This record gives sequence, C-alpha cells and structure tokens, in this order.
Amino acid sequence: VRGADPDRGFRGSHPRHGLDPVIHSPVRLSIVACLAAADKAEFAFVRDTVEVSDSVLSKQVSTLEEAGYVKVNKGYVGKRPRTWLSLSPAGRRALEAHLAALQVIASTAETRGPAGLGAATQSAMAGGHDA
Amino acid sequence: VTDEPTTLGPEGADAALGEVERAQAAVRTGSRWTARYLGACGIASLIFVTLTGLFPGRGGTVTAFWVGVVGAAVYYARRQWVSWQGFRRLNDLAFAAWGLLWTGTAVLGFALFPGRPIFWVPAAFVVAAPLFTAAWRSARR
Repeated sequence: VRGADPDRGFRGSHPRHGLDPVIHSPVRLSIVACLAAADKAEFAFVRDTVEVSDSVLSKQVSTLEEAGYVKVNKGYVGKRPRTWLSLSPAGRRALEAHLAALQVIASTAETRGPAGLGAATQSAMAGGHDA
Repeated sequence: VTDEPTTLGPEGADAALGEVERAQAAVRTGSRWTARYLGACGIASLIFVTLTGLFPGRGGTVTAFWVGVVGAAVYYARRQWVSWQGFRRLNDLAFAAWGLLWTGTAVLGFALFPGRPIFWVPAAFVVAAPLFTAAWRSARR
C-alpha cells in the first residue's frame, strides 16, 4: 500500500486528485487526524476516539504503518502492556495535503452559498499544526 | 487496501473536515492532564526551593520530598493515554530551564543568602516560573 505523494501536487484539474487514497477512508482519516494533534496516543484512546473495535483499529493501523504514515511502539507501564501510536513526518505531510484538497472541494459548496459549511473547514485546517 | 477518492462532493468533504476537527478536539480534551501535571510540579518546586533555602540543615529531607514528587509525576505522566503535539518538547524545555535556574539559585543563595527569606522566597517563584509558564501554555491549548 502506498499513499499519494503529498509533494507532487494535483494530478488533474479537479481537487479530488489531491486526495490521498490511503487516508481517504473515513476511519483512517480519523486515526491520522487524531494522531496529528498528539505527540503520541495509546491504542485504546484512538480506539475510543474513532469509535471502532480493537480488530478494526488494528487492521487500519497496519495499513497506515505499511504506507509509512504511522509508527507503532509497544511497551509496558508497570506490568500492563501498552501500544503507542504516533504520526510519522510522511503521515503529517499526507494529512496536510489531504486536508488542503478537502478544503478546496468543500469551498466549492461555500461559493454556492449554504451557510455553515465553512466552520468545520476552517477549524480542521487550524488544528494540530502548532506548538 | 485503499479507497479511490473519486466520488467525494463538497458536503462529504466538509463532513470529513468536521470529523478531523472532532478527532483533534478529543485529543485536546484528553491532554488536559498536562496542565495539571506541570502546575503540580510548579507548586512542588515552590515548596522545594523555599524549604531548601530556609532550612539548609534539612537538605536530605527536602531533597527526598522533591525526588518523590518527580517520581510520582513521571509515573502519572506515563499512565496517561495521550498528550498534545509539542507537549514533550515543552516539558523538556521547562525542566531544562528549571534545572538551570535552580543551579544558579542554589550557587548564589547558599553562598550569599543562606536561610534568608528575602532571597529564597522570590527565588522560589523565579525557579518555578518555567513550570508555571508551561502549565499555562498547556491549559491554553
């Protein structure tokens, strides 16, 4: 599985060509978005945030790990095993490119006039990029 | 195992962006412990520096208190599920600044102002300032 190259720009004129096929999946987008706002997150936290089962999250994380977007670290806190997930630099670049494409697509509706569509767009683009 | 992004419309894109924001808000909520942790370390630092300066003969007891506080803080931090992006760097910077300020305060204070509150009380606030500043930054996120 290979993700889109976030540095290559759009392949065609439509902004959908800028969407990353790996994180286009809603579950994987939620995972990557969650990890983008965090230094690291424990497996259970991501599972609860994305609202999926352990097995679904494990499968999706494997896909993201194969694409080079997510790093997985296993360890212990006391005697309890923990799995930590974090976003790789490639994953962060891919998310930024994907969000930019989503914003362009969403903005086509804003220019047509429905109220409120811009709020989520602006907020998502602002999140998880500072500090 | 990919989904070709061929059928996403404006409403779908905005819904996806809304989900991104929801996931990131969950991380911010889950990371609130970082402000409490840094604030508690700041308060413990105030106590440590003040007692160390005012009661130099009790250095062993006060140092044991500080080591216990740091150990408990590290244990508490390791048990948390998530921390916001940049927290680790901020935490490292805050404690590095704390170490430098404490070293300078200890050298100056023990040489020139042993047991004198006029030096040690303000110095305790100066030494704790990086931790309180980091706690404030964490709370603002």
